[in-house]
Amino acid sequence: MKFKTLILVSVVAVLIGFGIFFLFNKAPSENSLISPKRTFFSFSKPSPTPTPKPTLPPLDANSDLLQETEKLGAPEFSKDFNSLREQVRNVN
Amino acid sequence: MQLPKYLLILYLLIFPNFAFARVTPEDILNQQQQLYLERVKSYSAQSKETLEQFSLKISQLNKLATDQLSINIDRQSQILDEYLNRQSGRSTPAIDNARYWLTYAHEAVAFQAAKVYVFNLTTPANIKTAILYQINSLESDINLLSSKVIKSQKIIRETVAKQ
Repeated sequence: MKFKTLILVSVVAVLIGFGIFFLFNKAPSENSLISPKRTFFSFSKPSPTPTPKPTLPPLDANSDLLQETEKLGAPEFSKDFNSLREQVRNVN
Repeated sequence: MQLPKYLLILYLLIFPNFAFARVTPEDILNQQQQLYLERVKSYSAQSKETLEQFSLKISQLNKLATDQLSINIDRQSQILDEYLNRQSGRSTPAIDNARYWLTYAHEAVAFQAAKVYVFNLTTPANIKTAILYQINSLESDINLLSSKVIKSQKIIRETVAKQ
């Protein structure tokens, strides 16, 4: 009897727990935080047509792999950021 | 009396379920967006346009940087694949290590490409500060990402140098 009561209590507790969980995490409504209408993506969507990546010459058995790694170089974006900051400072 | 014991079990079984309702990064982002949209309502049309303009520029700069880094990563992958082919397809600990760091960098690039920067608005007079803050934040993220790509590059260079 004691074991059965324990099982019953556990099952009821889990059911109550799931009930509370789904109550607080119900489907998105108009006023909820997660709402497709209020997405920020309308402001910052990237270009709708993805620009194709430039194709590099394929590597083969004769390619100098070490030279290819040297060619990769270190990407540098500081000019772009400085330019953007300058644009912000020039805003009225 | 068995009741207190059962009440304790009931309590322990119910309240840990709240752990399932954890806050996800998407929730935080949505919260930031919600806050932004509420605050920007009171801003002038010119300020809204400025914010939208720079939001787009930040997004475009993020795309530019991640696209370039993605090309770099793709090339690194081709180099590593070719190196593996030259080893008759037999992987070595050095190749596995290089593959690990390449995958790590690749995932970091993908994560950064999907990132959205939301202005944290305070007052209409502080628009420039809010925009500059996000530009600095993006720059910091891109610099960190670049270091991961460069690390992967360095490891691959060391690996292929052993041929």
